[in-house]
Amino acid sequence: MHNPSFISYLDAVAPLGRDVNDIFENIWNEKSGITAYKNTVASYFSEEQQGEWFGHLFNEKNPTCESLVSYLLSQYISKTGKNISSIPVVICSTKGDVAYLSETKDTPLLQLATTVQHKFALKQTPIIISNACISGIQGIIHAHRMVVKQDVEEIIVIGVDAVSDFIRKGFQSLMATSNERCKPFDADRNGLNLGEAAAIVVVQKNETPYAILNGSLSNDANHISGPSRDGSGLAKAIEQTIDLHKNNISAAHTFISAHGTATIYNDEMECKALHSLKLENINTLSYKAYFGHTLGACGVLETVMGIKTLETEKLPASLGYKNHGVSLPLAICAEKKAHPFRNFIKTGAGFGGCNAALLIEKK
Amino acid sequence: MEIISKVSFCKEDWSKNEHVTHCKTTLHDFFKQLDIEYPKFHKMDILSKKAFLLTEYLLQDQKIDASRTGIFIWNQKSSLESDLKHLENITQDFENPANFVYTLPNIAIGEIAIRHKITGETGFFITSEFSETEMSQTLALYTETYTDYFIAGYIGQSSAALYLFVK
Repeated sequence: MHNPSFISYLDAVAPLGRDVNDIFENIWNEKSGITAYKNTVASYFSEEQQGEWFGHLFNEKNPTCESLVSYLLSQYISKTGKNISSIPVVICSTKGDVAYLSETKDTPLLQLATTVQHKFALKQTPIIISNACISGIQGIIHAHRMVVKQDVEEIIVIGVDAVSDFIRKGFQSLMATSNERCKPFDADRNGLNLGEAAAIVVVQKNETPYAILNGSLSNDANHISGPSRDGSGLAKAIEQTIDLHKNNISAAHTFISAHGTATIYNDEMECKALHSLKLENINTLSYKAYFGHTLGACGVLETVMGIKTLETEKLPASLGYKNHGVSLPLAICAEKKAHPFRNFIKTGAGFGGCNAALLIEKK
Repeated sequence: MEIISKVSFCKEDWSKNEHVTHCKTTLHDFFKQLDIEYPKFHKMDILSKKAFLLTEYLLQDQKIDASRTGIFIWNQKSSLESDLKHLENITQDFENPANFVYTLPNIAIGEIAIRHKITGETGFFITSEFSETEMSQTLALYTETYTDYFIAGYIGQSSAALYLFVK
C-alpha cells in the first residue's frame, strides 16, 4: 500500500477553544486547558463554555460526547455546505458518555452512534472503534485504508471522550494521575491529567495539500495495563509506518507528536522506542499539558494540531518540559519554534498493549 | 483470506441461565477441560475469559507466526459487565484498579496477545449488527505485507465465534 489519502477538512473543540484556529493560537501562546477539577486537575468544559459555545446543544439532557460530535458535524455541514448522509463516519472513543451509565445501564458508545446516525440522517451506522488510547489514530488509519484499498471517496473520522467520575476514579485508583499540570518527558513528571475534547478529520481520495502517507498498529503482548519496558511494540508500529518513507524523515523536515502522557512508564517506553529507530534528533512534543489525556480523542485531536503546524510553520512548545526526565536523550521542544516542517509522525499507545503510528506530509 | 479454523459458543453451552454472572462456573469448566496452567485466567473479566477460551480452542493444532498475526474483535455491549461493576465500586467508594482496567473492551485482545505472544495489528469494534461480511471487509483493510494471520470474530453476551484466517 503505497498510495496516500488526503485530509480535506479538520476541526476540533476543547476547553482551549471552540475551533481549531482558536485552540492552535492558545497552544502557540502556551495556554493550558488544565484547571482545578474535583480533588485533582483536568481539562474540562466549564458551564460558561457549555452555555456560550454550544447553546442548545449542551444541556443536562445532552451528554458531553453527543453534544461535541453534533457540534463538529454541524460545523462541517455549515462550513462546507455538504450533505453528509452518504458519507461513512468513524467514531473513535474509549467510553463515550459513560457518565450516564447509572441511568442507562447500557453501552454508551452504541447510544452515541445511534443518536448521531438519527440526528444527521446517516445512511450507515457509524463505525465505532474502541481501542483504548489509540482509538483516534486507528480511526484515521482505518479511514486511510478504506480510501486506498476500498476506493471509498471520503470518510469522516471523529475522536471524542469526556471527563467523568467513572474515568477519574479509575485512573486515580491506578495511581496514574497527577494533581498538578502534567509534565511530559520531564524529570518531575508524576502522572497524567484527564481531558475532554473532540476532533474531526475528513479523509478523502482527491488530492489536498495534506497527505496521509501511511499508518500502522502493533501489540506489545506484554501487559494489559503497562507499556513494554523496552518500547519494542511502539517501535514496531513506527517502523512499519515509516519503512518506505525514511528518505522523507530528517531533523530539518520532520517532527514527532508523541503520546507523552507524563506517566513515568509511558514516556520512558516512548523514549526507548524512538531511540531504537534513531529518531532521537527529531523535534518531539507532547500536547498533554494543553489538553490533558483525551483518551480515545487524542489521536485525532493531536493529528489535527500537527497539521496546523505544517500549515502555519509554527511548532508549539512541549508544555511542562524543563529538565530532561527519560533515560536517553530526545529532542523535546522546550521552546516553540517557527520552522517549515514537511511532515510529522504521530504516535500513540494504550492499555491492552496497543500501539499506533501515523505519517502525515505536506505536499 | 481463507478460514482455517472456527470455534463458536452459544448461551446454552456456557450457561443455561441468561444472566451473565451465572456463566462464570461454566467458563471455569471450559478452562478446566483445557488442562493448562494459566493462573491469570482467574483474574480476567467475563469478556476476556470468553476471548481467552475461544482462542485456546481456535489455535489447538494450529501453527501461526505470532509476530505476523492480527486480532480483531467485535461486540455490541463493549465491556458492559465490567463497566457496571466499576460503577458499583465507585458508588461505594471502593475503587478497584484491577476491575477498572477491564472497562476497556480491547483488554480482552491484550489477554489473547499476551498468552500467544501476538504482536500484529489489533483492534476492537462495537457494532449492533455484526456480520461475517463486515468482518471480512474490515480484515481486508488490515491485510498488510506484515500480516499473515488473523484471529477475528464476535464475542457477545450470549453467543460468540472466533475465526482463524490465513492470507
